[in-house]
Amino acid sequence: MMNRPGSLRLTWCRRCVLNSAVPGISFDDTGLCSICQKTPPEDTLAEQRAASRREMEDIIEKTRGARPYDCVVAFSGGKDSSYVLKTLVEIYKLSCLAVTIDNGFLSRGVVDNCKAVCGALGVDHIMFTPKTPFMTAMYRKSATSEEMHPRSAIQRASSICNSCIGVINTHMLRIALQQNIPIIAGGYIGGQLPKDTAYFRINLKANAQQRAVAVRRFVGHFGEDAADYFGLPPNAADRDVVVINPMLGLMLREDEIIETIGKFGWTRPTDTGVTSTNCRLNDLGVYIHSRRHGFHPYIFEMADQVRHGLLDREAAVAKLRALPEYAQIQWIADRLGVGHNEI
Amino acid sequence: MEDESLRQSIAKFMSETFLFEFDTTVTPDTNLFDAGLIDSFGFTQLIAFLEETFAITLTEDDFASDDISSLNGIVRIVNRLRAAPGQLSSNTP
Ligand SMILES: [Zn+2]
Repeated sequence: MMNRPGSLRLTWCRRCVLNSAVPGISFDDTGLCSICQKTPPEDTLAEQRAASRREMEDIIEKTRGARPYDCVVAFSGGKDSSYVLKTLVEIYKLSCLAVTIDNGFLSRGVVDNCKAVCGALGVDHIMFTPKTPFMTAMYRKSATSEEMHPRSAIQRASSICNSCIGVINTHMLRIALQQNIPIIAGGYIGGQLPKDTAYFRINLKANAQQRAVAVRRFVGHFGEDAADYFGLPPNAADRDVVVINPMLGLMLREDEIIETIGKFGWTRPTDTGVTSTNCRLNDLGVYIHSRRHGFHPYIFEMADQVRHGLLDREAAVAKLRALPEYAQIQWIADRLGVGHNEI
Repeated sequence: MEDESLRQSIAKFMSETFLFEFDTTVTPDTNLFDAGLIDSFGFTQLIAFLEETFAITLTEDDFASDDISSLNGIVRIVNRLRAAPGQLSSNTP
């Protein structure tokens, strides 16, 4: 399946699409992977999702309307965060500030999609573009080395994506702190994050020690500017912020999502590869990750969707097989100054 | 739960979740943040695991202490919180 000789003799889960190339995954005698074995029956999951949703709705009820903005939304302009924004505005009646990070590789269609969705929903929108030299240095380093993230991060995303997600999450926290916004919403879907992150509270004091270590590491890898992009203001520790990821509780198929947001004028970009709907850098991460680790960085989210009946197994396998060729990602590598022999 | 089985259950969770083994390089006293083995996502998972499994609530002092960063330190925190009045008893077998 992967473009690597010798990697064809893999064990595949009989239910989802996880395989034996993925670290930490084992299989029972019947060919069921360790995640599927641990997954509770659908009705138990439905109860858990309902409980998590009640918690989220409780905090929404308590915070709504107290400030100019109730919620800052990490709005990539992709399909999932567009759907999240719609849900927060139309179902939960939250006053949202949508924030898009322009990483320098956004699809040409993203600005149009952001305007279409925010315009239709009547939401304020900010586009933030971090310094290009910093982002280039971060992506270059992330493309050529795995050292900046823990080993377990390879289950979540490519090294490039993990670095970018760190910048995005920190920026959302900064805006929430600066503008006194109590809730941050993300568009993460099942398999991208643990299920128990559908709703959680960040106690910034509790995280301070871990964050300080992370900032030192990122400064070491990406230079002094990393302190601005991964660190928080000194007074941040006095605050609590609630993070919600509504998609983790909404079991939706991709076609349902795209049909719904299509009514706002959102259209699928054609320049972002198979697995992204906003970022043209994504395929470089996919290319490197699948060659380096022997499995596709989206395998967990596809496995999750297959496991819960949101994606057909054959369709998932086809997506996982559609790996980019070097010729398709060479322009990105060239722009970052990454040589073919480095990846 | 005795100290050793408590340590083993936390170590097992860490190994399975964060994909490393305790050995001569990573010991029960290793600072797991400094070693780059746990990031902010992992930290959230770890706290959720501890609070849920041992029916405890970590305090701000626990988060600020050096103990939060190593296996042995976390065992000390869990033991202290479980012994403290007002905490529910463990819900693990
Ligand atoms: Zn499976």
